[in-house]
Amino acid sequence: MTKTIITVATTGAWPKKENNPNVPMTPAEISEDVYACWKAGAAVAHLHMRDDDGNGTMSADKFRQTVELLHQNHPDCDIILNMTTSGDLNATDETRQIHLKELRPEMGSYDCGSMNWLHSSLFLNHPKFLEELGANMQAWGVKPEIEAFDPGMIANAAYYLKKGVLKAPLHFQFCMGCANGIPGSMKNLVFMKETMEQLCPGSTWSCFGVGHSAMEMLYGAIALGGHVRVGMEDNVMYAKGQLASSNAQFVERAVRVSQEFGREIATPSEARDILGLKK
Amino acid sequence: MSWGVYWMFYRCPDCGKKFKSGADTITEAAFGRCPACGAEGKLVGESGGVCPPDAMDYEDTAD
Repeated sequence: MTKTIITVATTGAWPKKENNPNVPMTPAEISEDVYACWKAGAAVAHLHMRDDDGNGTMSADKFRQTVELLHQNHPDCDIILNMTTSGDLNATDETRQIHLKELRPEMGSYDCGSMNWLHSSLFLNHPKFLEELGANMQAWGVKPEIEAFDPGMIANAAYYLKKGVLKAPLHFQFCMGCANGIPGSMKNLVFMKETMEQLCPGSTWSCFGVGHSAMEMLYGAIALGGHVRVGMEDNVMYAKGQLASSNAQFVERAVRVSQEFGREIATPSEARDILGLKK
Repeated sequence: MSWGVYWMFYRCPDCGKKFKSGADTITEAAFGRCPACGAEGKLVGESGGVCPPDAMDYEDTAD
């Protein structure tokens, strides 16, 4: 059986200390948290940054500080870094990419379509932006993680694949249970997987479930041969009525569930092979 | 980028209990109903609008 790649999304753009005091917010906190999650079994870290008020930011300096702290304090850590391109709804097309150009992480998120956001705003990924981002990621050697919030975004990825904006093999992150996106259910997860296999054969995939669907999506992904994402970007509760004590707590549970199922955990090096990354 | 559970916050018009339902549980019978007395709640806030200042004190209606 394929080994399971665990991605940890430590911070995201929304939760604050008042939601869970254990959410890492500063570069120092995030870098230490990433290291703890790597020790626990995470192969990929999906990074978001916060400004000094705790709001989402695409500041390249914050990304740089985090990476430098991680590498300076923990030179043994070989975790794959996956940087968001959607950490601030007010960011420009340029500021959404500049950190990729400057820091050249191995992976970056690629939100493959637009949607309403929290019933109050827009999460815009204009076709012009997606074409530019896809071309730049190829040029900079950054593998896109295709975030799909509904099946239409998988079809969009297939279009960009044919057009050369994206390059096979693709890696998808199915974002299940987000408001305005596809609900997080097993039926829907199977549908996303089958849609991907039909439109973009040979792709790899991972998924997470926001909120109440988190456990169903975790178990479902492992049973269906996918990879998993966990962390406080998606859930600040570890269980009903229980705040997560750390991101590593989520990683440790994903390790246990996968190993109990019979799938070993991929190291970062093994994840690089599975995802086709070149170090 | 994800954005956590989309919460809808309610106050029970009968017993005054504060509770919340996640939009990802919208098909559940308990959605928007007071977990204490079963009355239909009065919507007082939501994630995409104005959240109550004491949002962390609202009980989740999901099983």
